[in-house]
Amino acid sequence: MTSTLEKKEIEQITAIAPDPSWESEVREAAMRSIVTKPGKNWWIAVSLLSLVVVAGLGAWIYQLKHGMNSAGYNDQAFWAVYIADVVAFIGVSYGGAVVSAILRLSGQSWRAPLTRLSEGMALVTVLIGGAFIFPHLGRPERFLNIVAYPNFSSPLVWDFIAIATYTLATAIFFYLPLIPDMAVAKNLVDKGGKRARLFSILSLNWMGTKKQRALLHRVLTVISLIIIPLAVSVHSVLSWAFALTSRPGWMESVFPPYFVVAALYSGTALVIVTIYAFRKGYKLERFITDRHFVRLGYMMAALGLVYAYLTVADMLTEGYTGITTGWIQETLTGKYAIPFWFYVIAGEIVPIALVVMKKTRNAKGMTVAGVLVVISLWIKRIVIILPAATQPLISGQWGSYHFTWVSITVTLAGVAAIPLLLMILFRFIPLMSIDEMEEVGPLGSIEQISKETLKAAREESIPEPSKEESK
Amino acid sequence: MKKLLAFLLIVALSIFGSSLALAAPAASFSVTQGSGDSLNLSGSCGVGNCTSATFYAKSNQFAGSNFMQIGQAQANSNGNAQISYTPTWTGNTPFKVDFLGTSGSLVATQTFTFDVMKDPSGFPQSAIEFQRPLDSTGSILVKALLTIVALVWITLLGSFFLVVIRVPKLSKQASEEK
Repeated sequence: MTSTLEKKEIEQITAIAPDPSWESEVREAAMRSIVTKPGKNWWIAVSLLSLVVVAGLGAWIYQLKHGMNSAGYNDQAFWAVYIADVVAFIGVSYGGAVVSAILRLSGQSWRAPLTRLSEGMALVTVLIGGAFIFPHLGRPERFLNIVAYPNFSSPLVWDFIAIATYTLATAIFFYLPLIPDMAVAKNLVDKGGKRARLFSILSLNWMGTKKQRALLHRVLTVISLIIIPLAVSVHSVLSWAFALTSRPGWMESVFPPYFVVAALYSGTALVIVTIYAFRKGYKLERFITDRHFVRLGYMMAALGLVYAYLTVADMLTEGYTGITTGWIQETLTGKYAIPFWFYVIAGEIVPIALVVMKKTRNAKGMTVAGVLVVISLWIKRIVIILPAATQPLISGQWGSYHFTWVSITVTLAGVAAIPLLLMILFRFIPLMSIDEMEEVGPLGSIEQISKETLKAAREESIPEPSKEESK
Repeated sequence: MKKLLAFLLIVALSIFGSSLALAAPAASFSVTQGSGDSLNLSGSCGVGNCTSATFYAKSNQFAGSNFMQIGQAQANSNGNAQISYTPTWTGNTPFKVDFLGTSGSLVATQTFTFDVMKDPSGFPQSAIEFQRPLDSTGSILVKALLTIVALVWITLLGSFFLVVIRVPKLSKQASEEK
């Protein structure tokens, strides 16, 4: 007599066995953004977003001509909105990559419909975050000095090295799982066309043999293993750009984990928002269900609690000593109290409540929570940066930073560039990982299926290798 | 003729005198070294109807060719206002003051150039400029970190090229077997 567990496993194997209707449904849905011509709404959105990006570039040119003061910077507010943008954008990228890597390493089969979008989001946001270093530099033409004359005692050099390494890893992590899909995609677009040729090159002539799959699986495991500590190192080094200065409010040992958790928290939130937008835009409800959002919501809430704990730990430790507490007073009750308490309410209490309440534990509720977290965490970065930067060390006179149209336009351009680049990217790339979706089947793409079950199904669905191949 | 000359002289003196009487006292502005590293910026709008003064400095580092605001002060009943400011740079620095009236309109403006000689000493120089040593432990740490970075790059690129090279080869093998 078969036990209930065995029965369930057998059912799962049956469910993930090759299913022609599932296969065709997955292919049609994943290729929807490529094969269908973009509608009016797509063009309107792309045009509006492009306008914002162009306006941002114009504002940056104005800033280059008129100096950093035109963006609100001065000798006291020497670091402000742009470094917050760098930290926030690279942070969300980290979240996208790590969410995908962790789910891949832990064999979560339900990740299948989500990985492509989160890896794409990670790639796009790291490029935008990296680009924000240029407006942050008053003299961007000096950027190459960091390569030509590196000062290895400066955390900024290590920032550059870490971000460059992470960008490379993210690009590879995005491309490799794409290879099997490109092999499928090349047969689904007009034969002999430009796209078919491009897909054919990118597919590397993939045939899906057992050896090829084993190779790709091994390499992806290695890269997933590398990308997690790499992303931790990127955000640790970013935090040391602050923490290794002699400024109260920045010179904190808690900063590396504080930054890493903030990145994961906001990154998971942006994964939720991205997935919701593409699910709605391309009608992927059949594949990306409420259960996916709820699971991501749980992850986000857990990270939110850890981040709240680190925020308290940071303020309590320094506030209790009472030596350099000006920035804490400014943050809690002074000039920065409104943004700080906005973060507490909109970035912690409300999102966690939305996850906890059964009524709001669905795709919409989690997306609202995600939007709130992304906005609040950007504001939180401003609250971390400005009070400490403007706190007087010499004269007793607080500095001040004022947002100007230049800094606001440049920042909005970065925000607009995320959906813009994602919309363009997914005109050429399948929305979901076809290969992974077919591998795990309809049940596996929603529920968690054990590695062993998946392995058994894989054995069943992939033809036995020839003797030559087995060698 | 003498009468005409006398008349012209009287007219000229009258015009000069009346212009002297009508002219408002000019706005003044000066920058002096204060205690420690601070500078005293004090100005007078010359008339009693200005309410506040905004002070600016021109620093290439932040404002390009523009003035950047460094402080504000209320003007007293005589139109005088002053602030204390500690610059974080040295060199010939143009300062400016704008006196504003009750409606917020600009009443007077003056500039003054002051050669800032002293680096701020309120914060220990060592903490700002101290170069972390790279000749002993630091040097070993840098080498170790660069080695790790190199290994990561080799692994990433190696994995990438392994797939790019091996996948087409395996496909070729499989097709030949068929």
